[in-house]
Amino acid sequence: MSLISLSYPESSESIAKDYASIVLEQVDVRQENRLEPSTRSSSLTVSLENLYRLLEMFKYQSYADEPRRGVLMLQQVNDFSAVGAIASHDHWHDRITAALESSLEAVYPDLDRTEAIQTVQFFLRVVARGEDLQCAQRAELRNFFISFRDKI
Amino acid sequence: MIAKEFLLEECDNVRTLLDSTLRFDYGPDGSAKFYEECSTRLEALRAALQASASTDERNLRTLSAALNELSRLICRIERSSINEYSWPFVEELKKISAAICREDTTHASNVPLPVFVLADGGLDSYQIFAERNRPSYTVNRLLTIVFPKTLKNFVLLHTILGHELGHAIFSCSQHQAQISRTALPHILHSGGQLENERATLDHIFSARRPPDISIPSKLDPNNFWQSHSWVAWIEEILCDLIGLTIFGPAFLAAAVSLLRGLDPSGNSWGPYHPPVAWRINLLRRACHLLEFDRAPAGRPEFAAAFRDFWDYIDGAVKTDPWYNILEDAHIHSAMQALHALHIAHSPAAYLPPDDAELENLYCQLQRRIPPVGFTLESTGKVSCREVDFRSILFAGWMSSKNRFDPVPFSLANKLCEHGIMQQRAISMTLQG
Repeated sequence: MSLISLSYPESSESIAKDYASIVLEQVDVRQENRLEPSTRSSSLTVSLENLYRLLEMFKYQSYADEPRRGVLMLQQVNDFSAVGAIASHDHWHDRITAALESSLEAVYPDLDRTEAIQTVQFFLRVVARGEDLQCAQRAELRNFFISFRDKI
Repeated sequence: MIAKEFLLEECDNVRTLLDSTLRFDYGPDGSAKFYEECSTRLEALRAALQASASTDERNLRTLSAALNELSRLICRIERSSINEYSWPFVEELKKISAAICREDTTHASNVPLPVFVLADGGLDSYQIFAERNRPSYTVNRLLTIVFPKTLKNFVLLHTILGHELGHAIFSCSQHQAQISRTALPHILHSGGQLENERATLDHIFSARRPPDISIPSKLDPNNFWQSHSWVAWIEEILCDLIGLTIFGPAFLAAAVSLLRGLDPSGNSWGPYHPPVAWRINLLRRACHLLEFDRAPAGRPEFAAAFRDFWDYIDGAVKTDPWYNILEDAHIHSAMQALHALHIAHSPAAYLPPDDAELENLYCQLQRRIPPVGFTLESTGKVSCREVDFRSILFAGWMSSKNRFDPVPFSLANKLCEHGIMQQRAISMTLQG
């Protein structure tokens, strides 16, 4: 018997919010003070990658993300105290999607959806390489993630 | 305060574990990339913990879960040892995975997901676990392939992993979008038993249900989907079809053997898996529609062995129409859509061998020699050619299921495993 049995809260929103804040800090750092990609913090690496991945899901509207158990797991439902524990539809992304949608509309009202997402992804790649964004680009990225962070 | 301090100390412990295991070259492909991945995850977690308020219990709980999972992951990677699984099969599986399980990252486009392999106890341990896409403490998502330890060399059964590759493929955002647009609409077609939760429920509880299907008395249409996941059932059905698209008839044979081995009646289902017989009937019908069971040209013994194989499969097919959950036109369209996805990511798609090639492989197996692409010409010269490992596996199933002179199942597996390994050497030679 395990020592303890725990259920963990769905935390995608708070993690995404933290990652937006971490990227915002980096965007505001001037080029000469910025760390090389090889020496920058793990937090920034993880933040950039996760936000990029989130934008991929958003771009393709692909949110099915439940890890499935093995092909042969056929255990019957015997414990009916667990009834209600399985949610057929996982809504982990609802508020995140809404925040991304409205942030895109606010920052890129004239671009189509895919183009706007790819623009943000391009900026994330520039930051990941440790390169400098142009002033206007930095402002766009800042506005986007400030809006996203505040709307989640 | 207790939790934060404790978890920060646990970060040090995980660091010690990581440095004493994966830091050194470990496993067949080395462990440097996994060490780096785990190291970045750990330091990101440590930074998040340091930044967290001691009173933020919800956040600390999330970080505790992530730290636990990282510790388990390190131990799983450490256990990944070449001695525990079929190396030739895994190498072929990795080629397929690398071709199709790809995603864009901040540093490049179309990056293959890193894979590691391990063995575990239990027949039902077959699994490819793809880490989640949603925000987490990962950099790259890892794929963990798990084999049952008792079935180390049973490469004929390993084709069941086609289903698991399906989950990994579906977890890639771009593929998920394509599948949702092109294949899923046929599975969820209007008026069908899988159209929605209600339609599936009506089918399960219908009066046409065979008498040997027993539903626990506590389950009724009002609570059924509270203890079962309709979304998961649909994904399982989809992944069965993907498995067939990747491995062909050898996948169905493995599904029949393993699913009916674990559930002899075929009538069981689980919270995340639809009834076994629904799945087998669907796959069998798909094979017919794709003409995998078309009678081959060749010598009578070969044609008879081919029929015996399909008789073995048909022995697991239920005749009551309740078990048929999709109409032919929709199965065919779904398979075409999945094939189009896989063919664009070579070598992911199964391409049936021509009859002469299949007969050649089958004949080698009947002579108890590893099946590979070679011919001994009348001049005494040996000519070699490329053969897909899935053709070897199909021939292996035929050899073990023919009624005239069946090759014992264990031996057929060993011969096929050796055949795959030798074919790899032939391919390397042919490609210079």
